[in-house]
Amino acid sequence: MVSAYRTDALRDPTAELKELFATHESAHDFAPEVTRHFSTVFSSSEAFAEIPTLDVQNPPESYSDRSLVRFRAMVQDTSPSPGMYLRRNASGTLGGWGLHEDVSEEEERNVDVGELRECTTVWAVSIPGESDWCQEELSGSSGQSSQTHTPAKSYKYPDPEGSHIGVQVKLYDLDVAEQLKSTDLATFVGILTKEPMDVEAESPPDVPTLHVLFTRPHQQSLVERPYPSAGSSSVREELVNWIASEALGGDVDAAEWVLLASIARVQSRNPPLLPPSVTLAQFPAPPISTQAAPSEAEAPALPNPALSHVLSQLLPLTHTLPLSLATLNKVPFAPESKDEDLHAGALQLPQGTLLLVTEGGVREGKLVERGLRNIVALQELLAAQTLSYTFPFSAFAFPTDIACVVLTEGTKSAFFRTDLTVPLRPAADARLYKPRAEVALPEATKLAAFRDLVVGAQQGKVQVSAAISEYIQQDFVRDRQQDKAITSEDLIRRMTVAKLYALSMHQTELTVDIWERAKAFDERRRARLAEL
Amino acid sequence: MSSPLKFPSSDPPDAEMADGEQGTPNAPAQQPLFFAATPSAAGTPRRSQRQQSSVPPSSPGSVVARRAVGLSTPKRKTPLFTAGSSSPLAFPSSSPRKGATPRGANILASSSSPPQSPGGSEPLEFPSSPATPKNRRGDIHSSLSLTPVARRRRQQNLNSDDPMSDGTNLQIPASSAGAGFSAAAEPSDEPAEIRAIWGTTVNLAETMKTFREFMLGFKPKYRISYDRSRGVRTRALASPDEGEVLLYEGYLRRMRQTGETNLNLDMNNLAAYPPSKKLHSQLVKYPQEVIPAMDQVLKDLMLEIAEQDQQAGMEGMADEDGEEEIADIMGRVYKIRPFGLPSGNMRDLNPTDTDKLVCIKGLVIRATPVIPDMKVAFFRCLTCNHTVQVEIDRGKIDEPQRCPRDVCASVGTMSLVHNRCEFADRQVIRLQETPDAVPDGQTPHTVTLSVYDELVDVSKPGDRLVVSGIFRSVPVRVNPRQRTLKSLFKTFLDVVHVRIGTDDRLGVDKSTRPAGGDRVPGVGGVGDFFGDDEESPLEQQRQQSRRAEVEAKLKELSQRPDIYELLSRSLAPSIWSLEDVKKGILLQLFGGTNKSIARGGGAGGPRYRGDINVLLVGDPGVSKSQILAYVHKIAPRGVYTSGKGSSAVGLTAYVTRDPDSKQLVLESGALVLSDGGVCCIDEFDKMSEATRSVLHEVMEQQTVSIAKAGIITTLNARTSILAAANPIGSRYDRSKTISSNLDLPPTLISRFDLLYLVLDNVDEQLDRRLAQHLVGLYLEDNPHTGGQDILPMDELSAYISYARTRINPTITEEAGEELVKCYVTLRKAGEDPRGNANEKRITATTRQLESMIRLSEAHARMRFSSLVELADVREAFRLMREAINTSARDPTTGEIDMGLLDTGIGRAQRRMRGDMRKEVLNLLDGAGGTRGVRWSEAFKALEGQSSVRIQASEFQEVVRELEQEGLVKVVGERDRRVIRRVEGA
Repeated sequence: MVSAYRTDALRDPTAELKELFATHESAHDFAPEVTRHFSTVFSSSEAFAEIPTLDVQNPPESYSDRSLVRFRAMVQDTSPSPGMYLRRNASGTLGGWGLHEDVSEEEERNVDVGELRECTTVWAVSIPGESDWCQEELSGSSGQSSQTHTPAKSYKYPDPEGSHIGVQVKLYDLDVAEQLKSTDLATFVGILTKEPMDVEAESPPDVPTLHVLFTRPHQQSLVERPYPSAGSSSVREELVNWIASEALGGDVDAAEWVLLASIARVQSRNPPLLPPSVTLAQFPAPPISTQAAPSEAEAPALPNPALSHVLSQLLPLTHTLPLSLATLNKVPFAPESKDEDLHAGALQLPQGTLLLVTEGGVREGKLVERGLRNIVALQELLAAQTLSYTFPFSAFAFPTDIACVVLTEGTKSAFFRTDLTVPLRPAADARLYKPRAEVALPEATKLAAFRDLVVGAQQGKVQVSAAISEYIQQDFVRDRQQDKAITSEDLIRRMTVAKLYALSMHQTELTVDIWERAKAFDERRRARLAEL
Repeated sequence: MSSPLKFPSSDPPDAEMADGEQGTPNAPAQQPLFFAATPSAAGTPRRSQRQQSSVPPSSPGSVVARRAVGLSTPKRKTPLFTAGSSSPLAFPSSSPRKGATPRGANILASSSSPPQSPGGSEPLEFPSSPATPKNRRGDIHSSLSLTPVARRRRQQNLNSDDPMSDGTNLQIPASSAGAGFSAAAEPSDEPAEIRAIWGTTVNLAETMKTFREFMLGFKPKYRISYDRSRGVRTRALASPDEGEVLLYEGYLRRMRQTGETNLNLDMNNLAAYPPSKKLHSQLVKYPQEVIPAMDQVLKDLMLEIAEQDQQAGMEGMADEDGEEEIADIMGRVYKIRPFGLPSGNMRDLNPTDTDKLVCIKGLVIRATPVIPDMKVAFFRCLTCNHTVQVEIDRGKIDEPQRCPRDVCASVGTMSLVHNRCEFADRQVIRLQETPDAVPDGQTPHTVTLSVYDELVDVSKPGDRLVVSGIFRSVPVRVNPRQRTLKSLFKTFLDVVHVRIGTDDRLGVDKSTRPAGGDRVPGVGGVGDFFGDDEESPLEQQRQQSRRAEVEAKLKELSQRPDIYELLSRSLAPSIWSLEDVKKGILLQLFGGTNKSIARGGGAGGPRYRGDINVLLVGDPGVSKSQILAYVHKIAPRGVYTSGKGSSAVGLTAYVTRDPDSKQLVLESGALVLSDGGVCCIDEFDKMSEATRSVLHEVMEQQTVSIAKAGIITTLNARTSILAAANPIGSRYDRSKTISSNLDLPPTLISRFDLLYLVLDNVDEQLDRRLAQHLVGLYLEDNPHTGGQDILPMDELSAYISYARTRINPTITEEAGEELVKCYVTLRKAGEDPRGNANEKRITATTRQLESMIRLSEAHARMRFSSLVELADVREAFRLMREAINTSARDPTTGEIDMGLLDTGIGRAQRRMRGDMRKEVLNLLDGAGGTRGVRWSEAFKALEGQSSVRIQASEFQEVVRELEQEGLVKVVGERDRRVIRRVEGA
């Protein structure tokens, strides 16, 4: 029975929807019925996988009008005003879900206000920074399509140049819609059409529109992994070594810091237990390609560090933000509402993203006001994990959960104050910049184990017993007696590091041993810093 | 006077009408006739028609109104034809002689009696009699229309057995006015067959009757008992009589005297008056029907009262004056502006609210320039010069495609004559959710408001509004050129009432707004009895009872002896210690009272700031930023900015071109935005020179001047500034003065009332507790905060808000004396006890006196006391001393020296020299006698006395100075030098 529905729904979702309406015509609130019905039909994962995906490989143009698709997306903008639709058209058929009838002005006056329903409109874009392996796991492998898609309203994507899809999503089930917030990730399943955006405008352009049947939110992470998982200790070591050899010129300590940074998530906002931001100092600048003449106007595209490729192999969401004066001065980092349309900023990234900021491309020059604002925005993100969206006459700080690693040539970041600075000590012949293809991947099972460790640790929790608390307090007072320079900030940092250390070992409890190891680990870093 | 009543013509329900009287749609024969008389009644099937024509001047002095009744057109007609054939006709009824013009009888298409109006066939007759304008309101798209009832002078009751009402669904109950308005409750003498307006439960006659009763019968006592029954605190009446006043009668007189045409109607009053309870819910549900009815009652009553007053020979209303007044009233359009609904979030508006009265709050983000909105289009046939007026119907005007005159009937010859059209003001406003109303993690929503007439230009971008209006959903046009619409809807609000600046957080300091300037013209005018005269008119029931509750609680709180400690503890409870800093900031939040010379006469005098500015300087990691962020959250118009990122533009204002209108507009930055609030600036030291120079102006003059794109203007920036700065080199160097520790010009530093040094000290006990605190915060699962007994943030905010808006303490004589005493003490502290005038340090300047006044006022406010008392001054003095102690203390002498802040010149050196000089003279006077003292001995002796090491160079310098002054004389060379006192010096 259910599978019959499934085939029907896949083939002609509109007919299925209308049929459902016929049986629920009297229902006051039809939308929840739709959600219930279709999520039941596609409840099994294999059924869900049968729904074709809407992505860069399969852009809206490749689908016929009113096909059923699923769209794994980031909610970019929830500010469009909700729309109203007639639940039942004048002819008695179902309204909504893109099924509008054109009515004459005469009829318009006879609208039964009681049949009006509300639907929420949000703008959703392809998930920025989604790794290939994650995409494959969730969408199934799909052949590269030759179609080039020109996305609508590309300014609503954090990286406007990048290939992506932007879709107007109409949600009819308001309970679901209420939960959605900016940068939330969800898979929307619905009927794909084209409709005008923004009814206020004079002649609004048609944009791809998804009339949602049901939604699957991705609350914690795109992919799930268990915590704690067995046999982590050797995997952890191998992982650290792999990162070190492939991306950091053999610097194992730095690799371990990168690991800690990438598993850090926001634990609590009050009090603020935020992921520590890490600066990898003395990270050599990218080799400037000799053939390109260094012209002011067109800076040559700089190669991404190998670290960027390595991280995208490990994490579901990573984003590399190469800083240069041009990007700082031109690209908006924080979202801004212009003409009541929220333009995305480069930092409007989903929760759980690791942001790799490279300062290698920055040259001397002038930062204009936007550049300053951008730096402030990123600094605020590092310090408080909030990103301020600009609206007319007001700014709203939105919570973010973005771990951040800054690569800088100097002894500390030129622009940002990070919680931790780790000077890099690469081997002399290290190739820190290389194309993706040249990164040596471990065997598949090993790589899977690495991913399990990292993703699991991102979602893990560590307990701290009273005894350990007491121990840490004593430790702090003792240290402070010996060294006046140690402040409460040091204590806070050590506690944060120790917790992450425990997480990276897939431990459920913080022990004295881990505390001491983490402290020693942090001391090694400080010692390196002192040597600078 | 004609009063065409119209029925929602739409549908069969009024079969009675359609069948009975209404002509068949195909009755074009009479068109020409009708046209002539009804130029304005273009096919507006649902649109109200209010047409009145005053009596021709031939009946001098009499304001006899004639009435015509227009019946609505059946829907089946095409708009074009409707326009002509069956429009409600303003039917200038012939003349008084006919007595009651049969209201319905002769009008309709089916009517065979030709209109008798002499002017009926005169095309321009209509426009030429504008004395009684149509009661058109842009905000109401009513399906019915009423015209103020005919006033028959001398109480002619002409309507008692009006034949017109039979068969029609219309009635004009106000015609009962004939019996005199005192008989308000008199039952309408209309036949009882008139029922509810189609599609509603509103019985028009009943509604008007009830409202009339309400207007004439409502007394404050009803409201008081209503409020009591809801548990709302009520204002005490000065005397029982006050509760017996006929409130609205008074308002009506006031309206007449002031020429006001808008009456604000507190809907709670409707609910409070037992007979009109039902009207309250009807008004909410069917505002488009009820409001016009109320408008009409209002006009009727205006006339009645005017007449009554005239008869009573009231001053200014006797005879001619009265006639004139009444004629004026006849000519005016009166509007009821209801308010007082519980204000909701715009997010909660949903389809069920369509066409209902709703009330929402928000922030104006954009307002269009005034749009002339055509209300009546005037067309003239190019062929025969026949003119036609077409009234707007739901935002559209149907252009007649052919000349309606049968003899002409040319197609496409009707052309619009712009200067004969009637326009009304309209403005479209985009209202955005206020930050406090937006759910966490959501982006703010926006709604469109249409405001009309008097409400245009009342609010400006940036204002917070509470608007009452009718929620509309209109279909989206597929293509502007097509007639078809999509069954997709867009929504907006037709605003009926606007109130500016109500906020649950701290209110805007009202003394920063121009007196009366912010009032909504025409709207605030009359009718806010219970709202006092302030910006806090009656809130809706829930909120009001809550408010009263909160108020009682706040008052109770304010009585607590430890209120000061409690409040300061509650401010940023997660931050460790820093009690005095918190107290200083707390007083900053309360603020002193703004004083303006304008009060003493001579408007526009300078305003003395009551804002208290606070600067925190300190080591990194002492939670300065956290304090700022916290204050930003609870402060009025709090703006948070980081010095590093704010350019001068961000902090001030700039000029841009509005994308819509292409006009230059001012966009204000942080400081202007926080006008009347608190501006929190983090990393104050990192601020650019240019920005800082702006702050100089802001902090003393409280204005921001900008000159950009050809516009030079001064904007108000009456804001308190709370700034945090890090010392040079991150750590505070105790051996240096504050000025050398801070990369800020002393002139700017001195503009802060309180300057706190927040330093990090090593102390085992403290460290242990700190570690405990931090471990608890960062490692355990249930983080605990500092104290136990603290106020939640919203309560703290409410407390401060209440104090700021309600309490304006004045300084008692006693306190004044104490202020003087304290100031003198502070000044004295700077005096050199040895009376050496030129060595005097500056301890306190008048700036500090002003600061002290502000602080004591703030402290009194904090206690909810209307008087500044001794204790307030003492606490202000203590806080000042604490702040001066930490900030203005010379690091070497430990003495307070405001000069450090004011001039930045360290005075320790000179101070020491002063001491030394004294001692040298003592030494010489004592032991040395006239023989003098040897150089080395003197130096040794001094060093023996002194607790600090004396530098030889300093000693030499002092002696040289003394020598120059002629007090001592040095003889000899090198080691054999001897210092001698000069005799007689």
